[in-house]
Amino acid sequence: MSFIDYYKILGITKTASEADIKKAYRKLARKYHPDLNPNDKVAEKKFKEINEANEVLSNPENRKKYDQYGAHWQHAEEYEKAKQQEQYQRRYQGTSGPYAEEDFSDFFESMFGGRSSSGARGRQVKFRGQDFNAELQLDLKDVYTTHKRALTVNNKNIRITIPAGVENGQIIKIKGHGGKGVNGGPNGDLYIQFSIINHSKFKRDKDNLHVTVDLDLYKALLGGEITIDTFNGKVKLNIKPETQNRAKVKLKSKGFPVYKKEGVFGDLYITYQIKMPVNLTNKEKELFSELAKLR
Amino acid sequence: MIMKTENFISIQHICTYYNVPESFIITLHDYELIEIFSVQNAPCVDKTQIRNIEKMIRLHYELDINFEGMDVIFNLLKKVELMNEDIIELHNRLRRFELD
Repeated sequence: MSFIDYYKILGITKTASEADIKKAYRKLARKYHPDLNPNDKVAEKKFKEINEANEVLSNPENRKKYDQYGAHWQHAEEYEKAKQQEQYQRRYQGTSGPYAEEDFSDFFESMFGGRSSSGARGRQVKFRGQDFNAELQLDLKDVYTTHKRALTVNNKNIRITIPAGVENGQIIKIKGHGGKGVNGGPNGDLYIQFSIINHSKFKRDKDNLHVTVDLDLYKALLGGEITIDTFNGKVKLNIKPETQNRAKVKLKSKGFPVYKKEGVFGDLYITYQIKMPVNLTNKEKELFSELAKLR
Repeated sequence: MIMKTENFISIQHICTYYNVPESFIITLHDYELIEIFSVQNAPCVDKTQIRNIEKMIRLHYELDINFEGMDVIFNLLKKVELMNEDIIELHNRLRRFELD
């Protein structure tokens, strides 16, 4: 744990008055408040630091202790041992010291660990806990169907339902699973952003899928039947005679599921890519020449 | 339009719960930051507005932001949200061509 300069965080000097601290805190809180910086992790971190600094410096008692030991917090144990020794001696002598052992450790806890819950002077501002942001990586195949998934967020296991058709980059909110509220404020929310990796040959555009299918020259010219892969199985397709290269056909409702609309699907767009024959035999060349003459 | 009463929450209830004066909610309405409906002769707000009202309470009482400021903030946040949605959509469209 490294030393935290609370004065520096609030941008004030050690001689700052209570009003100066309040003013500096308000100014920075307005800049970094989670409500004003949604999904901004840097601002979240900064706001936490500002809150912590304000918690210590706006409380005269904590501030006094921080000023006394803050910069030398690494030596806290030595101070504590020295105080214990001193207290033991004073107790033995029938007197009590200015610091109780509990006060000393509370001080460091309030500075570098938990928050002071009692004895704090001044207004205790209630803040909603920070919103947490997490990223969940899924394969395109995973989001073709609605499914449940268990996640561990901040050591808590939660089970969420991922509806079919969720988009890459889409964010869902899970209420109350964010950071703990400050001074009794409500918990923040957890925002999960989906990162969808596509390893398939299909390209997705919202609910529609696009795929390129190879077509041999003869089927393109004369027509016929081919079997193609859709996202959830094979289908037979009639090819019209004289189909052109890059011609597109639409297969209705063979695309991706529409988000939160059960049983509704987008379309599948097929682009034909005509494959020209290679390594022609002499006979083939002869026949193509004859065909060319006819044109 | 038929209004379902269970979708609304009375201003009085909000004020008691969040410990804010009724005038605060009325002023939010005056600045067109929220909409107030009359349901069974009681002024109410739509439940979907609660999250925004909570946010406005925090901005006003914790950060000293006045009503004009909140109006500006909410407009800008809306713009940021729309821009973020556009960026995600454009990224997704771009992905269609990246592997071609």
